[in-house]
Amino acid sequence: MPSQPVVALALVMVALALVLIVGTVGSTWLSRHAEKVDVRIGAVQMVRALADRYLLVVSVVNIGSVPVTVQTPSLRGDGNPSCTLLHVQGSQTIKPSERVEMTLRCSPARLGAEYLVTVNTDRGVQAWAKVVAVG
Amino acid sequence: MGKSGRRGISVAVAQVAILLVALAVGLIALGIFMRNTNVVTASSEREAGLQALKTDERLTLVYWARNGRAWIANDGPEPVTILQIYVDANLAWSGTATLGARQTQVFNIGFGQSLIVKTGTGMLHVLRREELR
Repeated sequence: MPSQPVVALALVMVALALVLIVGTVGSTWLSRHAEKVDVRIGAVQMVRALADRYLLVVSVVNIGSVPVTVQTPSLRGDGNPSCTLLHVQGSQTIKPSERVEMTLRCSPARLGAEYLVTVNTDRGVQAWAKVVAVG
Repeated sequence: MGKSGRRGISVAVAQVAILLVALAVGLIALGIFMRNTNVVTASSEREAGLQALKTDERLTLVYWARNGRAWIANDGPEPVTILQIYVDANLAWSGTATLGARQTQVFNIGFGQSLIVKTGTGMLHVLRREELR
């Protein structure tokens, strides 16, 4: 029976190939139908307004596939500034591929210092970006 | 005769198996390629978002009266939409006011030391800041 090992090897390869094909097709199908939750900070700007008070504009984009509610951004860095939300352009519950723009007053901040802006969401994902306070 | 016959079948099965393996490898490669393509698209979108900040808007505070009326002019070549005005880091006005090229508009915003305007592009324009002593 010299051909038996060859047939066995062929069967193993066929089984392996089938597993790979089914796995690939399955994962592709699942990834297309799975909920993707992701947000990103599209743009951020921090400008001095009065004394150590700065205006911070944060634009958050929903790059996922489901609506996401974003919380008020927070700032970390020199002087540990605290921020107050002044204006929201759009809805804080962002639909997929839409954005919201939030304007905040943050103090005390220092001119030229670099700050970390963090935005949390109700889905647990987080977006962050660095910003430099300009005059 | 029997031997050569059996060998022929096994070679054919092996060829089919190799074909299937090649197909599977191709599908996996295609999947990896498509995921990379999505990453590149996302990066481009982000870049576009950052680029949007670099606009050629030129706004000027022509006059700011003590009674709270401010004359703001668009000195740039393109129309500019003003969405918010902040006086001393407080929201003094919000709405939609589009200023054409070289057009001036009056806003009732109160009086203060600093005046910052936010436009439709998301840009903040500092038109006046407190005098440093």
